[in-house]
Amino acid sequence: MSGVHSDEDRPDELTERYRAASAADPAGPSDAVRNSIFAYARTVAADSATHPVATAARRRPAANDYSWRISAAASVVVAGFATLLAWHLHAPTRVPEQKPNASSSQVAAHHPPATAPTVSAERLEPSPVDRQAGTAPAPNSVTTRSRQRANVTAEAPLQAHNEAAYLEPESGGVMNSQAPAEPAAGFVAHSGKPDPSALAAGSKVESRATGAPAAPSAALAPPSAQADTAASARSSNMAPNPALVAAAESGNRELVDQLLRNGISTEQTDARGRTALLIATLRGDTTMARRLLAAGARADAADDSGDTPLAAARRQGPPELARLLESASHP
Amino acid sequence: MLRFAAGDVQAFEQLYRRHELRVWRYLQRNLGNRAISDELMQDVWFSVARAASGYQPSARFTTWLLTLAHNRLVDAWRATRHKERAAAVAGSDALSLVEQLAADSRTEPPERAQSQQHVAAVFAAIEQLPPEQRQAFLLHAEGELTLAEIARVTSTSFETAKSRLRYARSKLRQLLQEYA
Repeated sequence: MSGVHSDEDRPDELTERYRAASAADPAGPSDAVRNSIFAYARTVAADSATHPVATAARRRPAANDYSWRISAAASVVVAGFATLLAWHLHAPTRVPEQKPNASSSQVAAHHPPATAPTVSAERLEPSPVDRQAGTAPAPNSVTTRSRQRANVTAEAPLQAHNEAAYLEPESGGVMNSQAPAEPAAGFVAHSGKPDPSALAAGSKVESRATGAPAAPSAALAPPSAQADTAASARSSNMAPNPALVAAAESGNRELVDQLLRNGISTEQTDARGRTALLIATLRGDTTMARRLLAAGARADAADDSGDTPLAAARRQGPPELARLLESASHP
Repeated sequence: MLRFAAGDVQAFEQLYRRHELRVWRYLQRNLGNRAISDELMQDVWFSVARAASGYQPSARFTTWLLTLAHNRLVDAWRATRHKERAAAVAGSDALSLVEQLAADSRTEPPERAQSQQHVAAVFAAIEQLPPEQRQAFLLHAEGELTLAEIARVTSTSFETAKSRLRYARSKLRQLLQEYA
């Protein structure tokens, strides 16, 4: 402390003048004070000689003693530990259902189609209680975010289709407006019957989300079975468009290709009996029509009003598409 | 101090005599009252005697001793609100001292009389300093403490102590200009 010296520390002329004046001042404490202090010092010395332990025990800690800092630090540590302990003891217990979803695809495959996606989604996502408690989901569980990511991937083209349907009410707009919000869920919302194509898409999403291989689904079922399912869906006015028809209607060639690779039947029709090829023809999409023809679509498949892709192409073109369909109908 | 802690009373008396005037003058020049200064002087040295058994020489003894004196001084000011009355009391004491020295100067030879007038002027100038500046100056001039030690005794920062001492010197220089 006294090691810090500056110019201000040096006694200047004023300090010397003061010291000279102070030395000239004979004033000082009285003898009574001096004697009193000496007497007290003798008493203290005698007391400490006779009761050394008692004196030491009576001694109060100095104001600059550092022990209080140690005590304060120890108190903080103890309080923190107690808080952690209390938090640990009062934390809500985990719901046992929060286990890894190894069987999520199995659930989707074996449950009734109308309830399978719901059960799967509930099992995949942490319960609201756990979310409120701030508990982290299992490392290999599917969180809400990943689930939403997968759904968005599957929904994107269909959403575009729905928007297009609103713009074209004459091409099945009424049906589209009643389409479920989540086509990837893999079932028909109103009729309660499964839609094979949508179920295939939903199963694909499910397998991508869980990392487990997708279970065999109706998408890989024989075309005849799919046709029956499509017919039953068509019988209901409330049924939404099948995925392939919807994809063709939205002009999403990539999704059409993906669905065709998954074995989706080209015989699927919408509520008015229109196939994907007829819709592609009505849109004048030659490329998509070529892909559908390559996948086995029939150029003479008539809708409820008797219109066929070939007739539509001849009627409204383009000529290239008409030639393509003619060559397909007369191999 | 350590010898007194071991039971040597003579060591305490030597210690007292060595620092007696330093402490008493610090108290008296701040308070301007002999009676209160004697009382606080006694209190300070009682504390020294009591603390001897646990004394650990972590700093200079003078610093520690003047810290005790300064704390007693502040306590006394707080207890009796001496701060407000200090000017009047100190003024009376200072006035009496100045008057006494002036009276003595009339009977003394001219050189000695001039010296006594100068002493009275110095004390009067110190009395006119603000308390904090006066403490800083007295701790420096009377207690021979450094700025860092002054800061420690008065529980202020180094810069504050330095500033107070600078202002005190400036004002004293101004007040004692005619005696320079």
